[in-house]
Amino acid sequence: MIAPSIPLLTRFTHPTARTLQRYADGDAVGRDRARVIRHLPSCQRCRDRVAFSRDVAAAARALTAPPPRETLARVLAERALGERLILPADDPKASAARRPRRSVLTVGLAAASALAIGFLGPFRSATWDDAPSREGNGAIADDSAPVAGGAFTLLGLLPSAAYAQEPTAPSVAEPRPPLINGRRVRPGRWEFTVTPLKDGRPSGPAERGTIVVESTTYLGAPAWRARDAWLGHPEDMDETTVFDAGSLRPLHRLARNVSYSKFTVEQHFVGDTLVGSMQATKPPRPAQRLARRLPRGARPYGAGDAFGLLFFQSVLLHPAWQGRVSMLGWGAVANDLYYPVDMRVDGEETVTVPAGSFACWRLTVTARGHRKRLWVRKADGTPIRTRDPSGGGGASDEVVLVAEPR
Amino acid sequence: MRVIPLPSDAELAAQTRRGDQDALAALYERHAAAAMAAAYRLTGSAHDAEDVLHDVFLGLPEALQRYEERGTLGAWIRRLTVRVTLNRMRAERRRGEVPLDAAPEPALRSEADALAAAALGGALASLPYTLRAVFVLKAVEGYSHAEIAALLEISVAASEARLSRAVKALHRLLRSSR
Repeated sequence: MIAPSIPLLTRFTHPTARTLQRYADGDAVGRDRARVIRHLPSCQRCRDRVAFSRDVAAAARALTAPPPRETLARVLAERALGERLILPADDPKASAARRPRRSVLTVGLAAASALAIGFLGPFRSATWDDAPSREGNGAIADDSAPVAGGAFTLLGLLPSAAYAQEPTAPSVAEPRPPLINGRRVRPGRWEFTVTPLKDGRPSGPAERGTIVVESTTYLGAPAWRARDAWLGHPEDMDETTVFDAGSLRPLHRLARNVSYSKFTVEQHFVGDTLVGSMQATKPPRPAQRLARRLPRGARPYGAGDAFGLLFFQSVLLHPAWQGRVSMLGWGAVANDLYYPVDMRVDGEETVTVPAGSFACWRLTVTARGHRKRLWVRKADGTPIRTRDPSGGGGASDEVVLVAEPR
Repeated sequence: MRVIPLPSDAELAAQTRRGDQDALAALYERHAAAAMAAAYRLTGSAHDAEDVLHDVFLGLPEALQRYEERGTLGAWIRRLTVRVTLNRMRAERRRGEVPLDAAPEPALRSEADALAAAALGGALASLPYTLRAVFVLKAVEGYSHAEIAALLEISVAASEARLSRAVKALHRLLRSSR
C-alpha cells in the first residue's frame, strides 16, 4: 500500500545527479533541497550516492603526502644565491566574480634595461617591468649585470637575449616541441654580415661575424662545439657552446668579453640545472656563482648565437611547420634565465645573397611580441638571411650569409 | 622553567617579508604539508607537486607583500598553491605533457588506511585533469562553483557537471579496484 502522504511523482522519479551532488555539498536550496529531503527516505540508491559523495570528499581531504625535506634546502640555497620567483596574484576567493587573467606561470619579472639590438636579437620590448633592486643576497642585481643579448648578440640567428620568462600570453598558439636530429648538422665555418638598413637601403657599415662548428666529445659522448665571434666589433665578444650531438641540448657555454664590463660567463647544464659563474674583468670583481633550475616544461633549450645555425640544420621544415625553443640567457639574475622563441614557416622564396641564390623557406620568428623574418635554405636548413625591424622609421638590421663550407 | 611562546604566523610572515630565512623555514615546517597535499591532489603526481611546492616557497617572501591578513595564513598559502598548480597544469596541457608518475605516496596510519588511501589516490590521479581539478577544488579545497569557474575559465554549469561526472567516475574506479 502506497503511503498517501508521499507524492506520486517523488516516489517514481529521482533527483538528477547534479541536484543530489548539490545536496551532498550543502549547496542545494529551496525546492531542490526540499525535494531531495522528501525523496531520500524512500530511496536507498540516492542515499548511497549522497553518502558516497560525502565520504569520498572526506577521504580525499585526508590524503596527504609528507613534504620532501630537500625542497626546503633547495629553496633556501636558491634564495641565498639571489633567485626570486613571482607568483600569480589573482585570488578568485577574494573576488569570485572577477575572471583571472589568463597567464602561464610567471617565473620572474622581465628585465630592466632596454637593449641595443644586435642584428638578429635580442627582441626589443616596451613592456618589461623593472625590478632589479628587489634582488639581492649576492646576485648581480645592479645595472651593470649583463643580460644575454644586447649589442653583442650579433650572430644570433635566433634571438639569444633572455629577458626572463614566459610572456604573459603566448605569442602564438603553443606549438609542440620541434623534432630535432642533431646528426643532420654539418661541421664547418660560416661567415655572415650584419648591415643596418633604413627604408631598405644600407645606412651604416656592415659588420662581419663567423660561426665555426666542429665535432667533439663532451664527457665521453658525441657533441658539437660551436664558436661564434665578431670580427672588429668593438666589444670583441666570442662565445663557445657545446651541444649534445643528437638532441642539441646545451651542455657547456663559455662567453668572453660580454658587455662593457667584459664579463666572462661559464655555464654547465646538468640535468635540469644551470650552474656556473660570471666574473667582470673590467674592472675585476669577484666571481658570481650561477645556479638556476630550468623548468622541464620549457624544453627544448637553446643557447648562444650559433644555436640557430645548428637548430635549423637539424629540423625538417615544411609549409605548415611551427616550433618553439627556449633561448637561455646568462642566469645571473632571475629575470635573465630563458625566454620562448616561436617560429613558423609562412612562405617560400628564392633569396640572393653574396653566398649565392637559394630556394628558401621563409619564417616568422617571434619573441615577446617582437617579430623577425628569417629565410632558411630548403636543401639543408642553413640560415641565409634575416631581417629585423629594429625600431621605428623604416630602420632594420639585415644579416646575410657571405661564405660557407664547401 | 620559562616557556617561550612560538612565533605566530603573522610574526613569521612579517619576518619572512624582510628576508629572514629562518622564518621562511619555519613557515615551511608549518604549512608545506598542506600545500603539498593540495598540489598533489590537483596534479596527481608527487613529482609535479614537489615542483609546485618548491615554486610556492621560493616566491613566498615576495608573495607575502600581497598578504592582507584576512583569514589564516595557512589557507592563503593553500590558495596560492592552487593558483600556481593550475597555471602549471595549464601550461603543461598546452605543451601536451603528461605527468611522469601518478603513484601516490600517502602518509600512512594503518595498513587498511594505507590501502584505502592508495586506492583513492590512484583513482584521483587517473581522473582526467578537467574532472580532477573541479573535484579537488570543490570537495577538498572548498571553493564554490563560481570561484572554480573563474579559476578554470569555465561556466558554473560546466563546473557542476564536471563535479558530478568526477564523483561518478571515482565511484566506478573505486568499485572496480576492490
